[in-house]
Amino acid sequence: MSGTELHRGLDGITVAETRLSDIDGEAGTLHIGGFPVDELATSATFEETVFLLFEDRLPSADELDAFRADLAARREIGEDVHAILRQAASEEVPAMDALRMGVAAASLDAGDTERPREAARRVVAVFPTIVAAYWRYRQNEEPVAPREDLRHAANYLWMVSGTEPTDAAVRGVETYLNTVVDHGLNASTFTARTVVSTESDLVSAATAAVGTLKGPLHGGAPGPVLEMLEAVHESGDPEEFVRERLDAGERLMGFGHRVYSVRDPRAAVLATAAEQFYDDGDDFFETVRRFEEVAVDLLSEHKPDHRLDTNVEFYTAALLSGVGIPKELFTPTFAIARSAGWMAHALEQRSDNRLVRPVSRYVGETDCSWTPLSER
Amino acid sequence: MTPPAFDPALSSVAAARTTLSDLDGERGELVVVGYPIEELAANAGYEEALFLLFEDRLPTDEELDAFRGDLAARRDIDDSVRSLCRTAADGDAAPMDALEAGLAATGLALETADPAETARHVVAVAPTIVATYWRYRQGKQPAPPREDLGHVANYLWMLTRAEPDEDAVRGLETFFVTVAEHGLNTPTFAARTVVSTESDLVSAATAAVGTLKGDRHSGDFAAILDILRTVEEADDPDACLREYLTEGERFPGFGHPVYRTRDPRAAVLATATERYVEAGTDRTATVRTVEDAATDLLRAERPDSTARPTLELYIAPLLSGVGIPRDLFAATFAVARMGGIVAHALEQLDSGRLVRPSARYVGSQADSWLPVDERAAVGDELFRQPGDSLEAVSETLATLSEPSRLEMLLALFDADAPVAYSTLRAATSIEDKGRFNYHLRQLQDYFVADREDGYALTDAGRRVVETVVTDDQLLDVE
Repeated sequence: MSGTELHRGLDGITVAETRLSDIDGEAGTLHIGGFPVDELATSATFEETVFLLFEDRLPSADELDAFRADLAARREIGEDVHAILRQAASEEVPAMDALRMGVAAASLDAGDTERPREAARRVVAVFPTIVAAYWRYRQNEEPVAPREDLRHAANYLWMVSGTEPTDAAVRGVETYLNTVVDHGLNASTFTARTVVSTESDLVSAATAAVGTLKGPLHGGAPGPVLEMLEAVHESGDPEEFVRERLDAGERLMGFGHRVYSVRDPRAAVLATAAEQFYDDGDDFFETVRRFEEVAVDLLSEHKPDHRLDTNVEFYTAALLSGVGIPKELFTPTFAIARSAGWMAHALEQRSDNRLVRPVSRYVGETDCSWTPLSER
Repeated sequence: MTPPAFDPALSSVAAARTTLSDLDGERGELVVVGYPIEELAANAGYEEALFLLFEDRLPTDEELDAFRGDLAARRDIDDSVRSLCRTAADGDAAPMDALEAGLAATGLALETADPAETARHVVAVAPTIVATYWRYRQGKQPAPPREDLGHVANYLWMLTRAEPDEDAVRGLETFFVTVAEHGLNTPTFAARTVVSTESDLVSAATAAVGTLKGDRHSGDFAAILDILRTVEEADDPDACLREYLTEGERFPGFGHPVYRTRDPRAAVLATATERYVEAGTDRTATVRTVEDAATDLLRAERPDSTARPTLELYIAPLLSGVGIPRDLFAATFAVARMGGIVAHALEQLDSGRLVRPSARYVGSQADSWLPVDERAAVGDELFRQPGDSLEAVSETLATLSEPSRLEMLLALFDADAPVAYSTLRAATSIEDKGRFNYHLRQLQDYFVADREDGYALTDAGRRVVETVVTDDQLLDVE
């Protein structure tokens, strides 16, 4: 078609107005629902953050109680969903595929998903239950039923481990969930908005977004980062470890981000959270800090004109492993957080909807004439 | 040309290169992998068209046999997927929900991570999921897929457990080939975005079905069949069409997002209906009547409207004619479109470019955190503006200076209960839907809330009506 310019990847194209998050890649700042990410992440419970994203304001004490109770009442999954997760676990299907299957299947017994706000709350409430049930099956253990008396983050830890989580672990998870809850129009969030642009439902948006997030270019690699950190810890010599990698021309995992030209502001929040979680003098965390220092120095020697700092994955790995989330669940835990951002974006898209319908540029043959099968 | 800064519909942006199809919305032409749609639909079977989409060329005799055999061998679904289909049927879930959930769980039976194989697998199981759901829905046992039948014939077999009629197979096959591929429509674009992160084809297909579910794409079928039946029985088609037109905000079967002239697939489907469906000629005649009368009516009533018929208007008589139950029209469309969806996903994987657009932030800035017990009660926030500047206040007043908006506020005030969109529209004098939506948006959030049960005034909106609009002025409005 004439008059259209090719923008593969839609880089630099603004496709939506949003009130949810504001990224300034140059300045290295992120605001979520108007609040600087460090302030929100460390002050809010996850339920408060979700309310903020859905309602565009903070809840009063009464509203927050009601909202918490409402989410807690939507956590259960049906027998069918359990059957799918049991099978997924026994066939060692990766956790993100199991989550996609579980979310889609959960829509069949979610009742009325036509009411968008209720569907949004159901999606947020049910993600931890699906992830935890899958994980328990993976460990050949029975799932742990959700507990309505626990907050979202605490209940997730409870369902994964079956033991009462410490306050420090809950705060650690809550800070993590708040930090990564929303981040502009990344691919999965844009998928969610595209899905509802046809006036489809929010559970479909969530299912599609999970499918997008599971791709390695998006979901990132906090699992491998942890493996790396453990290897570094074992080697006892971070400097040698980094030099070897760089000399071999390898990338160091856990450094750099495509949107931020300075340090990703979320990394600092998670670094502080990890520091608060680990006791003073924790060996592993000492290694992590030492490794970061050494790596940043060596990387800047290596590429003097391009500063690479630790990114979100780096401290995600340190923090989540500390609070007791197994590394196989790092990306699903990210999805648990981001589900609230997806749903908020989907609600926002619905409130001022335009069908997303780009065009493509045809670069194939044009005037083929049909050759019958026998003559080919 | 510099790119537009803000393009929420992406209507002026080419988001991908493709060799799969070329749409010319101005001239009403569609070329699929080099072949005009008329030629492809007249000559190719569905498997042949799939091969063309996947391999960018036509298959030889042997290749086609091998390809058919491969697809046929992949049709079975797992027990757990079957049980999802049953749950969906028992719970009266819509067919598209069943297809979405079934596809999402398809990874369970998949023993490959190879995208091309996964693509074939997804295409092969989609009809089985829909048919299995449908059989349960009818209180019957599913009919297992048959490898001796082609893709389309087997679909009819699984739906009915009866040997499919040859004309019905041909008619349905023409439908499948005709709609298999159609550029970067929303579901296809969603599928491409999913795999742009190097995710998998099952996730892409699931996302596409979830997108296709939206009413904007496929919700019109039942209404169209009703209209066709009414027009067939009525003496005066214009009168009954006029009724639909004044009732609904959108005329079912009209308003194609791309074509500014007749959709080139319309003629292909009409020909197939005439050729393969009993009394097909009468049916296509009715479609023509509806098409012409509705186009004239739309032009007369809404002169700025460029609404052209959507393909649904031609799909309905063909699908009902070959024996597809009307509840399955949308799902059957999805099953046919699956070829184009996965072909696009494969193409996207090859091009390997992450889809990552931008958003413009329009929310509040630099709020400072308030502990929960210091927060005000609901409603007080509604007058809160970001910052203390008087500009914000004057913007608020400007919002209210438009008579149409005051009219909306009054209508909501009078209603005293949440009001449905159509009711609100009917209660105001703004005829153009676009303008109506625009004004409504300006009022939304501060003055009007979009709640579960409809539109209602916020406390702020109520206060505005009570304080600004006096009784005398109200009389004037009446």
